[in-house]
Amino acid sequence: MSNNKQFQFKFNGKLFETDKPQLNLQELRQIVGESQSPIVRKDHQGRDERLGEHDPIHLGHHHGHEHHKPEEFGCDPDFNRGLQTYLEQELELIGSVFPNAQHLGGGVVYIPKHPLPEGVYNRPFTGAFVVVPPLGGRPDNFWVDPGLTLADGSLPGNFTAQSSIAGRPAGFFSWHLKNWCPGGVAGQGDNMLSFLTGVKRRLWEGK
Amino acid sequence: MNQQIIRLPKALHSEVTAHLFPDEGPQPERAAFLLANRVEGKDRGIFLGYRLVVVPEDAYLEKADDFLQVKSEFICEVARMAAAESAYLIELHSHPGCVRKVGFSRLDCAGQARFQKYLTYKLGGPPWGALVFGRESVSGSVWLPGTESSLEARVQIVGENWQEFSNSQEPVSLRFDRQQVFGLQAQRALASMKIGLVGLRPLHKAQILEETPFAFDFR
Repeated sequence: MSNNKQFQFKFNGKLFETDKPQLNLQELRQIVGESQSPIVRKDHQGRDERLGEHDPIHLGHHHGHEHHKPEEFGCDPDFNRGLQTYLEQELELIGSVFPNAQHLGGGVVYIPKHPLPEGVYNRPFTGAFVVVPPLGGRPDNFWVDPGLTLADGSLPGNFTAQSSIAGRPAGFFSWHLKNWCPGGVAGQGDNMLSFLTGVKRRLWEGK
Repeated sequence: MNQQIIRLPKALHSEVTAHLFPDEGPQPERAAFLLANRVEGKDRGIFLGYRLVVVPEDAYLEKADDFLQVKSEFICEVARMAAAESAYLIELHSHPGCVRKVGFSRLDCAGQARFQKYLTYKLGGPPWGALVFGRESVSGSVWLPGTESSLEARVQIVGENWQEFSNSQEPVSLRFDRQQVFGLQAQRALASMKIGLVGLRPLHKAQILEETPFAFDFR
């Protein structure tokens, strides 16, 4: 049996094979199972080059090239640290209702499968991004996975299709809660759960 | 392997704390890296830090009282430096609001999980270590090959007077580590006592020695 997967590359130290000499970023993400983090490629000097959504990714041919070194890719380090007691309290609150929520760093939270009203949009779910503000701040706007439109292909109001958040492409909803009365402690007064309830209401408007 | 240790020479530790907690000016969170060697023993693994690489001001994307973010380009350069020297990396940062007790936050742990992936890509994987410093405290973790979760590490400051920090306890002097026949817990209890020794040769007469912390000194 012949092996059609003649092209190989490494991702986070693990070897992958494919039958395509060239991939785009979405195809690479599918193969390695990394849907969110920005991806970097190691150049010949060991430096990282961040891949854009439309960058062609050329892979080396491994059969008959014993000494060929596969291209190496990995997740961007996205190096952030901090105590952030308030942020952690908010993250805990969000996690209690959205167990799949991911903190992407810098207060940016991604909710992978936020349900959408049936038949209103071009998809039943969307990923949603919100930003937890510093203590005393007010959350503003939210973002969704790229490509979201209404069912008839038009765009919702106050929505920008080509935007980005945390280095990722996203659609941008210009929106905020009309009333915002935080309690100074996460869980008291308005918090990110009240904001996310508002996000859901906004998406349910479907216009 | 049941014990993990991150060991810093006293001079290097002083350099670290001077960088993280400068005497003057604002006190945001700061970060740095240590290049380290590693010794694998039968029942313990020891990182030996030998050089501090501070994160320069222009390499921060953000630096606040309770948060910091470092540019990916700088992280890449540190990883390249470690690879070039065949060194191990220990990342460290401060929680300036913490004094006698400090620990990794949830945000730190999420960042470390990403860093684990990054180091696997850049350096082929663990071992690597992490330290978080309070003003009078430090906690450590290490990651070993074949494991995704971290192990708690004791942090030892070595010099004329050894000092040891573990994640859940107050610092303890290891000045008399070589005479430590009763174990660390007993040593802590003994350290708080005043002890008299009577009539030991070559003193030739009854004498009372009083010393804190406790030392055995049979001559």
